[in-house]
This record gives sequence, structure tokens and C-alpha cells, in this order.
Amino acid sequence: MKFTINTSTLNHHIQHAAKAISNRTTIPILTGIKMEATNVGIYLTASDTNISIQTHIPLEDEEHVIAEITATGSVVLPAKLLTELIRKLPNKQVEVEVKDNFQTMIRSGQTEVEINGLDPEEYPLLPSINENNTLVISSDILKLMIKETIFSVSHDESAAILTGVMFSLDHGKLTFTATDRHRLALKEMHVESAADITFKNIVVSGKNLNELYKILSEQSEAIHIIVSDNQILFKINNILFYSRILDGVYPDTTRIIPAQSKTDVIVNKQKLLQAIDRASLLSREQNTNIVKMTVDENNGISISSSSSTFGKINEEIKMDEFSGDEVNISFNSKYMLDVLKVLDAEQVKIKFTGAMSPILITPEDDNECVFLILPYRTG
Amino acid sequence: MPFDQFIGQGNAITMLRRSLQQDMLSHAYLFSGVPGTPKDDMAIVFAQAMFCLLHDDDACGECMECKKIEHGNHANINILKSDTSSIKIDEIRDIKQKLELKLSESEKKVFIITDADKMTTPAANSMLKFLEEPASGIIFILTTSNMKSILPTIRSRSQWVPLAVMSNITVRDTLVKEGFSVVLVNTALKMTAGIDSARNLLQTNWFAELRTVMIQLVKECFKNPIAASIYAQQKIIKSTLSEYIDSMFDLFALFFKDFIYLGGGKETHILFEDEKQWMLEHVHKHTMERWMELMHLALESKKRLRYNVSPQLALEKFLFNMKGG
Repeated sequence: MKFTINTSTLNHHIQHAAKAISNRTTIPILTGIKMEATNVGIYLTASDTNISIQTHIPLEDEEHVIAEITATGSVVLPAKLLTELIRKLPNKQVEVEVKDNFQTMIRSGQTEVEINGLDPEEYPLLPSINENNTLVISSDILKLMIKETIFSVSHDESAAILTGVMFSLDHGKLTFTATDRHRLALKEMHVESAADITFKNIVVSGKNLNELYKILSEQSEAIHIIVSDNQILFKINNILFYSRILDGVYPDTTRIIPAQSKTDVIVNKQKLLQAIDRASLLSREQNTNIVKMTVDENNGISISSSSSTFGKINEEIKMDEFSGDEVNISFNSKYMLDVLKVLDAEQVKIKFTGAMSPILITPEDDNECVFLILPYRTG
Repeated sequence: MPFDQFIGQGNAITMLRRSLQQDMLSHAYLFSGVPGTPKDDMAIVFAQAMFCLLHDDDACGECMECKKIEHGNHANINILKSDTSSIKIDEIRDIKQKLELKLSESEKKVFIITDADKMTTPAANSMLKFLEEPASGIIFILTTSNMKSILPTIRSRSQWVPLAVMSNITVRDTLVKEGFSVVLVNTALKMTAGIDSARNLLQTNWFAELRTVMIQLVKECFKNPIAASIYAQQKIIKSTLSEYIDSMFDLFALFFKDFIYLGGGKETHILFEDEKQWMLEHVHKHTMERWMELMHLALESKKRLRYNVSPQLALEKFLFNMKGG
């Protein structure tokens, strides 16, 4: 294998691929990135058996020649070294050449590096996924959907299924659900897909989605999502992002979301966020983050919290709309802040169904996004 | 690396091959055998045999799958080899995390845990969870040289594969194949028990030297007893060998034992083959009783060391007795 390539392009792609590298792997070959030069471009593959990322560097884009292949072939090079090295190379061009026994020469300007490569034949093959069932979604929407749900995943490894976000698709409606038993986030979106594609109970680990989130661009690129029996593939422009699906049955969350409410409130999101943020300062004792909220028609929302060491805080916020009964409820301020931070609206609607029932938070004029928080039982 | 390489393990191999042929793999195997039996290698070969592209009930060692496993590069084979003295619960939790991922229908995942007796009780108990509710396609291979330290609950939930004890001859051949000289291997095997400790002894930098010095010392004693004391002073007391005087007494005893064999006409039994010629010339200098006395003396001196006699004094007294009689 021998090729020359633009250094910054190579660096850009290596950074993407390296996201799949785990420092904890016990499998020597997975500490490396597989580099493959073919007639249609250069492929970089990295994997930790959970996530696999393959990026494709085309030989030329609209204006420039990016890479020139002299001889095709492949090699596996140590990822850590490679990412550091390529970033620090002096010249705009870099030449990569593989010699006998996978000895790899990397030349750039006056620099010449010889790296001991590994046998690419031993690199695990990427899963072959039947591409018939493709779902297309814009990257900014996918990004938003991940952002609005991922914070609710559980970090408790003993219930592994809850560490993931559940995907389901039914009649062109894509739903993401995440819950850690104390709170729940649900986001729905209408997407273009062939009407006959449906799937449910596809659970993708929150960690993996986090990596995917970093790769997704803010622009509205088309992302193809393909689901197979144990893998899910996201096709992003030149990148293939494979993730394993978590094994197990995701709990049925549809019945948890209350259909009716006793009290409905509409309030300015920013004001509520700031008030709770301040109140949470005094609620950090014993990690409970307890904040109390009382809502009544005359006084508006009052938020209070107290600490035996520091003192107490109390503030009031005017509501824009109110209907129903008075409310007296306590909840974990961290959960509420997480929701308010990702919620994309000026005004939020909060529904209460009693002091012991979940608090439901939605954007004022949007039914595609639902957040639930279980209240604290206080005396 | 096919199964055939394991000499003398016919029973275990037949058992493993049968389960491969009938496609009736158990969800957990427990390979046990005394130190030195090739448990870990056998576990690897068994895993290779499951994945081998060429054979159904053996490993070819040539195909890509076999090679990947041999180099530790197979994504579906996890080997837990603990360097520390115990296998902690966190290491078992890591395995658990790997098990949460969905496998496709035909996929197999193999977890090899070597020295499973090193598992702490909490680790072993959390391990039980997988063994009690086996998921399809997941296979555990545990290896141990100490079957008694494995929790009975684990023992009863896995297929036990006992490996045959290696005979002394196999041990010797194995070590010789590893590149140690035959005479040294023979001596080492008399001084320790088991292949691992023999190998450790052979790998030390002092063992061969100690043996040479000991032979030289005996020769000096016959030639010039006074020079022998000086030689001992230079070569042993003043050098790093002084730490191993106890092993030296073992060597003395073995050496004198050889004289007794020679005197009794049992030449094939001797350990110090390289010195046979010299021994034949000198065996008649002492009576059989005297050789036995000397052997006894060597063992007695070793015992004194244990009673905190200074090594130098013990050695000098021994040399003095040897020439004086």
C-alpha cells in the first residue's frame, strides 16, 4: 500500500474514527485503526466491538485532489500514536507506505516515521447490514432528538437496558425514549421513510449515542439509519457509525405518562430555570437536591429550598396561565434543570396530577416532546 | 495448533471433540489439572476449534479465525488473565457489561478465565449469575489448578474437564523442548516438584552456576582440601551464591547419591551424567558407607541452616567433615 494525502484531511478523518477506540480493550488489534487504500478512496476503520466507525476519504472533492494512491492495500496502525503523530506533522502532504511485515513508513517534509503495523486480515470485519430498510433523517433533527433524551438515561450498570435510549418507528413516527426510573424523556418526530418500515425496542447505549452526537454536524445533512438484528448503522456523509444494540426488553413506558392533569401551568422557561438554579444552591445537602414548589392562583409559583447549615431561599415567579387546583410538591432540582436546559421553547407547560404523581413538562405548543419527573415524597 | 499436540490428554480431548461434533456445547467448562498441565493452551485450542473455518471438531491453526484467536485478536473471545493475586468483582462486572450486547443468532462469544480459583468470593458469586441463566451463544471456559478453591456452586454448574497429570518424563521432555539442557532439567526436577517450579529454578541465573561450583568444590576437596576452603570462600561466601547455600546442600546430597548409584552398579540412575567419567574414577576412594555418610552430612548441614547457623560456618564445617572423615 502506498499513497499520499492531504495531512489535515487525514487528521480530520482519523479524529472521527478514533472515537471508537477504547483504551480498555484487551484485544491488541483493536488498539489500532485499519487503513485501507482502494481505487475509490481511503477507508479508516476503528472499533471497540461495541461501536465501529468507518470513514471514507474520497480521492478528490469538487476542487482539489485530496489523495493519490500509488498502490492499494491495507494495514492496521496503533491509534493513539497515529492520532498524535498526524496532528503534529509539519507538512501539508503526507505519504504512507507499507513495506514487508506491515512496517509502515510515514513521510511528511523532512520527517520520516517508521511504525510497526499489524496484520489487517486479523481486524474484525464490519457487520454486513441489509440496506433495504433505510430510514432517512436530517442530522440536526437527529442531534436534537439525542440531546433531548440522552440526559435521562440511567448510569446504573445493573439494569443495562436502561442505560440506553429506546428507538421505535411506527407509521413514519420516530420515537426516542430514555428513563432511569426517576425521570423520563420522550421525543417524537415525523420522518420520511417507506411506510412499511417499523421497528421497536431498539435500545442503543447512551455512551454510544454520545459519541455519535459528537460526530453529527449542525447542518442538515441526510443521515441514513439502518437497523439489523443486533446492530444499528448510521450513515453520515462519509462516515459509517455502527453500534451494537443492547440486549433485553425495554419497559413499557406508555402508561406512565398521565393523560389527564389536575393543574396546568404555563410559565416563562428562562425565569423558571434561573429560579430553580438559585434554589438548588441550598439543596445540595446529602445529594438530595430537594426543591419545593407551590402553585396557587393568587401568588403564582413559589419555589423554596432550605438547608440546615446555610439557610433558606424563597422566590416567586408569575405564571402566564393557570388552571386547576393548588399544588404543593417537592422534586429533585437537578432533574428539573436538566429538562429546562434542553427544552427548546420560550414558554413551558407544566402539568401536575397530585403531590405523588409525576410532573409532566412540555414545550407550550409542542406535543412531540415530553418530560416526566417523579416527585419526592416529603413530610 | 490442533488438539493432537497435547500428549497424554486423550480423555479430555475426546470429551471436547464429542461436544463439538454433536454441536452440544455446554455453557461453561471448567478445565482443571495440576500446575504444568496445559489448561490454558487447551482452552485456547478449544475456542479455536469452535471457530475454525476448516475443521468442525479441531483447530487447524492456519485459518484466519484460528490465527486471530492465537494472537488474542478475535473480537468474540475474551481472555481474562489476572496478573494480580486475585480476580476482583470489577473484572467480572466488565464481562457482564460485554454480555449486555445483543448477539446475532449464529454468533458465539467465548470468555476464558484463567486461574479461576483466584476469583474473590464476591467475584465468584457474581459470576454465578451468568452460569445460572446461560444465554445462548455464550460460553465460559474456566481453568484452574486448584479445583478445591472453586465455589461448589460454580463447579456444579459447569462441565468439568479434568486434565491428566503429566508424567515426569513428559515434564522433562517439555522442559528440554523449551531449550534447557537435559542434565540441568534432571537435577532441577529432583530438587522441586512440578513443572512450574522446575522451570522457575532453571530460569534463575544462579542455578547452573551453583551446580558447577558445587562439582568443582567436591573435586577440589579430593585434590587439595585447603585450597577447597579458599575456593569456597571466593566463589560462594563472597559472591551472590551465598544466598543459595541451602540449595547447594541439596546438590551435594544429590551428587553423593550418584556415587552410591555408581558404586551399586546402577549407572542409568545417575543425574550428573556430564561428570560420569570423573565419578567413575573416584567412586572407589570411599566406601559405600562413607558416601552415604556424606550424603547424610549434606542434608544435616541444610537442616542446621534452618536453625539459623551462619551459612559460612555451616559450609566450612561441612567441607571440614568431608575431607576429615
